[in-house]
Formats: sequence, structure tokens, C-alpha cells
Amino acid sequence: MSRRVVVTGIGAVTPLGLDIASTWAGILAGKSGTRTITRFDTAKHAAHIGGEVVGFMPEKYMAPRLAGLADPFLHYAVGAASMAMEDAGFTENGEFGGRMGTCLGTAAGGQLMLERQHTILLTEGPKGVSALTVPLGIADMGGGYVSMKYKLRGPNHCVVSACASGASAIGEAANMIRFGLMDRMVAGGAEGMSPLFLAGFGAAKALSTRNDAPEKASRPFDASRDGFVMSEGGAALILEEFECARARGAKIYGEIAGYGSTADAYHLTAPRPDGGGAAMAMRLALEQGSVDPTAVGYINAHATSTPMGDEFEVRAMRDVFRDRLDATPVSSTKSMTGHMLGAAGAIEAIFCLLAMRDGMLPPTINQESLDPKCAIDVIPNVARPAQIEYSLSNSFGFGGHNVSLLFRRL
Amino acid sequence: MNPETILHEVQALCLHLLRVPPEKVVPHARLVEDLDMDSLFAAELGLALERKFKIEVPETAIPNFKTVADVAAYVHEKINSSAA
Repeated sequence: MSRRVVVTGIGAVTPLGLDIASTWAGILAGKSGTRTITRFDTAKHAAHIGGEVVGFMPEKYMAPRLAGLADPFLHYAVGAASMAMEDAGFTENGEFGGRMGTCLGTAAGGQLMLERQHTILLTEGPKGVSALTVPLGIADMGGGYVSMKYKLRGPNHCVVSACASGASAIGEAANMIRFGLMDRMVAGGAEGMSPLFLAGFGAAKALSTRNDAPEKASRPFDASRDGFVMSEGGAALILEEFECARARGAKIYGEIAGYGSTADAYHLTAPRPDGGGAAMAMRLALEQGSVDPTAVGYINAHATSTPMGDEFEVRAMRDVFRDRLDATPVSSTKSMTGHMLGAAGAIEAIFCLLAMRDGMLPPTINQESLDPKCAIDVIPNVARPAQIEYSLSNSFGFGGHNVSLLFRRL
Repeated sequence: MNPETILHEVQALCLHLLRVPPEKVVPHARLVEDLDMDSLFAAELGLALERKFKIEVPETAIPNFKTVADVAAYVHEKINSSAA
């Protein structure tokens, strides 16, 4: 019999709250976590708005001397993973560490740290650059730090697939367990905000410039959407082989029933117009779980609020679900969190699990006038009660990454 | 700058960098054994000294810093020799 993968711990740091409880309460209340950016000066940027994490204390989860120097992405990665470990009932003594690994994704890694050190390089020269620049700036250090803190001696790596990184990390980690390479994995994603990425996304015309109404700027599927809202945070899940989890009496949030991963092989940033790559990812996830599309009770869409991306994703979902899509609730929680980039796929996986647990589907907020090209049930503005057995989460990224994760309620 | 002021400044710097309890940063505290300094933070300390006191701290000097007082003595000597 094939090995099954279940989720036994979750943790998160988001613009909506510094833990799972506050974040999920915000989601079910339809709150927005996006506001005017205060971390750095945005006066000359196209977008002045974002989803900042406010009030997080990294010293609670990391050695204070490192917390003081580390990039926000590392703060959120370690914070989210630590909360997930605690939730799953694991301590820092590394009791299960011999067969437990880490796979934490990020789109950019320690971007803010690297930008600040680069400024020093240009102004003071190489001698002024911190010795911690590389260790605290590189993209893999989320998993690296967590493995050290919890003495996890299995695989220790980072998945980078742009805005799909968090979902890719979960899928790859789940497959390691499914295929018998490991028993337990810490999986998820994290991202910090930085001026260079705000400028770069701005230059690519990817961001919403609804600067006078930050809470209304992320509006996936709405006719007046004008780009995504850059955001930050971290989310992590503890994945375990089902029998291992049962043997230690762990509480179980749900099962990772399927994972599909494909490439568009088309363009740097634009999705394939027919949605073919995304559709194939959804089909592969359903196939791995041996689940018929009609069984899916909720889809957490990637839908970032860009004019093209949302429309093409609807096309891809239509291709897979056909007429059934009209009876399948779909929402984009990015309407509330903003786009947490490398953390997005991981926090959205958690939302799928909590939606199944609580029988409540997250809404898509800021819905005033649905785009006729996105004529589906987007759960407008208000969370909706529904008992569901399966949920699907899509995540896509620059470079043509398409990832779909399928979850089963247990 | 007198030796006492330098010592206080060096103590403050170690405290800020290494984030250990303040009562541990006494003059005879050993950087590695008592304050848990590793090679990365030794390099950071060199950089911080250069910034703070406007002196040069060559890599070869760093392994000679055993205690907080050693660091202060080194800084004192450097400042005085450059003033002379």
C-alpha cells in the first residue's frame, strides 16, 4: 500500500496576524491586511502599498544576535516553522530528527539584507560588508536554521519557483515522504519585502497603483483590478507519513492527496493564454490523488489580481472542471493577504486545510463588479459555510511555474 | 579617549553585537568561552571596531582578542599610535 502524507502542524506570520489564529480569524472576517508601506520610503515608487507584517518579534524564535541582523524572510521562515513544530508537538530535542527534513521555499531569499549590504559595498567598499551577508542572505537559510534549531538531520534544502515556491516546497516534501525517502518534513515558504522588488515589479507593471485605497487594491476577478499588491510573511506545515503520525497520536489537519507541477514553456512573465500548463498541473494533482474533479468542493486560486493572470487561470480551471466549475466555489485569499510571493502557496495550503476543518470557505473580498471573463463563483466578500471533502490550491510563478496541491479531509 | 571610556565603549559594542546578558560583559569575560563568539561574529566585531573608533583592524589582530579587556587595550594602543 502506498504511503500517505498528512499535515500535523501549521504556523504562520502574515499581514493579517502574527499566528494562525489571528490570520484565520481575519480571513473569515473578510479583512484586508494591505496598507501604505512604512518600512521604507516609497515616494518615488509606482506602488506605495503592500501587505507588511507588523509587530513581529523574531527574538522569540531565533538567537537574538542573529535575529538582529537577519533578513525579514528568515524571521518569518523560522517563526512560522517554529510555530508549526510546536503545534505538531515537536520540541528542540530532535527526538525524530534522524528521519525528518526541511524544505522551505522563497522567491528571492534575503533580498532586503542583500540590498542593504550592496549599498554598503558601493559607499564604503568591500571592507564594510558584514560577515553575515552571505549566511543570512542566501535563500536556503530558512531550512538551514530550522534544521539546526530542531536538530533535523534529513534533507535540508530550499525550493525556488518564484511565486509558486511555497506550494512547490510542500509538493516536493510530500513526495519525499510518499516515495519513502523520509518520514517527516517541515515544508512551507517565506518572503520579506524589499525596495528593489517593489521597484522591479512596478517597472514590469505588475503592481496595483490604487495607492489611495490600499485595502481595496487587491481585487482578484473584479472588473476594475489593476495588478497585485506585494506582501510578505511566512507559512509552514509539518508533513508526516500517516502511520508515523498515528503512532504518536498526532492531531491531523488533513492529507496532501496530490501534487501537480508543470512548466508553461512560453514566456518570462505572461501565462500561456490557453492556460494549458496550469490545467495540466491541476490534472496531475487530481491524478495523483485518484480524485475526480467533481469531488473538489473548494479551489483556492492563485489569482493575484492582475488583469491577465486571473482571466487565464479561470480559463485553465474551465478546461479541467468544465460545466462543473459553475458549481465549484473558488476564492482568492490574496484579496486579503496581498501576494506573499514565496510564502503564498504555503499560507494558501493552510487556508485549504482550515476551510475543510471548520467547514468555512474564505471569501474573495473587494468584489464590486465581477469581470465577465471570470464568470465563476468567487465567494464574493463574505465567507461561506460548506462541508467539503477535497480542496485544491493553485500557485503559479514568473518563469512559467504551475503548481497545484490537492487536500483531503480526514 | 581614556582607557576607561574605551573599555565602556567596547563593552557596549560587544553587548549590542552578541546580545548576551549585560552582567556577562565584564572586562575579563572571554569572548569565545563566556560570550559564545564564533568566527563570523569575530569578523563582525572587527568591522564594528573599525566603524566605531575609525581605526584599522587587520584580520591578523582578531585571533589575539581573548577577552573584552584585550579588545579595549588594542583599541587604546591603536588610537594613541595613530595620534602620535
